[in-house]
Amino acid sequence: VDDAQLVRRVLQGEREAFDLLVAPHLTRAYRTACGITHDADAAADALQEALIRAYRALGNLRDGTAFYPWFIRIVVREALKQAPRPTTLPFVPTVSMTTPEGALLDREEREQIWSTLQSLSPDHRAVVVLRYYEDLSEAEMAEVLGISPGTVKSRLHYARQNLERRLRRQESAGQVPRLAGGGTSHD
Amino acid sequence: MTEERLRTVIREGLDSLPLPARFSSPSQLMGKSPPPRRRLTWMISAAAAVFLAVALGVSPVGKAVARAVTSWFVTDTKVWKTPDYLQHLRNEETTERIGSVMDLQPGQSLQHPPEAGPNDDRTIYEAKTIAELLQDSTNLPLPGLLTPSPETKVVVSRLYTGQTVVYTALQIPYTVRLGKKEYRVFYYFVPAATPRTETEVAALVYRDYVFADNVKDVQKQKITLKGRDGTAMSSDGGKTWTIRWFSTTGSGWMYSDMPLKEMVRIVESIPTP
Repeated sequence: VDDAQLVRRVLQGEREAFDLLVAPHLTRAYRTACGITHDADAAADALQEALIRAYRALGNLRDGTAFYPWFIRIVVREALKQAPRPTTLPFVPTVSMTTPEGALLDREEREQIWSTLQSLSPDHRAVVVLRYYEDLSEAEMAEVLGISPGTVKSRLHYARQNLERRLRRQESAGQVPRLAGGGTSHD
Repeated sequence: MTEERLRTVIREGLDSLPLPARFSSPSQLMGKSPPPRRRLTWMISAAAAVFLAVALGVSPVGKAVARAVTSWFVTDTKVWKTPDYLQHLRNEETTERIGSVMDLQPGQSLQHPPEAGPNDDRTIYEAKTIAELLQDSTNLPLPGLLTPSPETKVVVSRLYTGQTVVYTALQIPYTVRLGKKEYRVFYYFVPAATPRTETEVAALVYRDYVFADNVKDVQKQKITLKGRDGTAMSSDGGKTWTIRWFSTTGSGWMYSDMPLKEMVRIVESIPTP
């Protein structure tokens, strides 16, 4: 069953078809919202609000239009509304690592990256997440965010520059171990 | 740092986050709103009917039709703005019909049905007796104004569809007497899966969290009130009022049909975390 058929079924009053329509996209949409809000509760609220809005506005989705790009636009805009300013809780997703040493090096670097991302505004985090998680082009990001491609480009540039600058500063202060040949001992 | 490295860190990090259990059945969040296209069609029809009635003039029949259509349209718009999901949760009959409501006494522990979904809060509920859960619930900044009467029965309200528990809460009914009138207050408590620290609680409370699905509509109607500690209250269609707060052991909310000014008093009596 394709998205268009499911949309038609929802519009004909079959509410359960909505579950089938959104289920494949929910986890990804939630994670994208987390990347923007850096707050799991705010991301869940954003997703819930987006679902309600999508359900009510489903009639505006033209036949043949893919559901996910339309839905993720609503999710991103809700996430930007829900994002706490400034975020107060550290947001570092935990990832299982392979070796203890690699895990430690990785963990510190990851923490620095996530904390730097957290220091960016939600608008800047949105372009980073759309670029590196959703894999969108600048034109697609512009459409999702409702801004010009030029603004997308400058936000992405600013976010990357900021990340580079902070990580370089922390690296020179010895806070971030180098990935290879760092010689850091953690015995 | 290469672009590829950044992509990997972001992907691995975000891919490790599980989807909260409340999204196991999204259509349950939608309440009873009719499908949108049909609504849109009706709205267009209604607008067209009004336009025709006005354009065509002005015959008494035309005027009556225009009035009827306008009144239907306005009424329906009001209904549409009601947060159906909240209404749905508050409707005890609905809860009973969809899920199960069980009366439990302190000391008795709750067993989840075998068909409960994998993402529910069963571990918390099974690990603790109702008395312990009640103890947890009193860690919430419950205003002294609300005291459960001795005959109060604690009800575990579980809302689920099919195999999946959507929502489980401890429901503690109160009666508040104000002058000659008595009001019902429903107080709900959901234990946190992971206990929160004081800082996290403060952060959550100061976010001005409004427990309403259509915050925007509520704000439009200018009926959102905020307590001095950041707790918020909102209205669902102007009849019942909800406030919500957080503690280290869980979160709670209450709603009541009491007058707004009394609810304001309650919000203001909640101490700052």
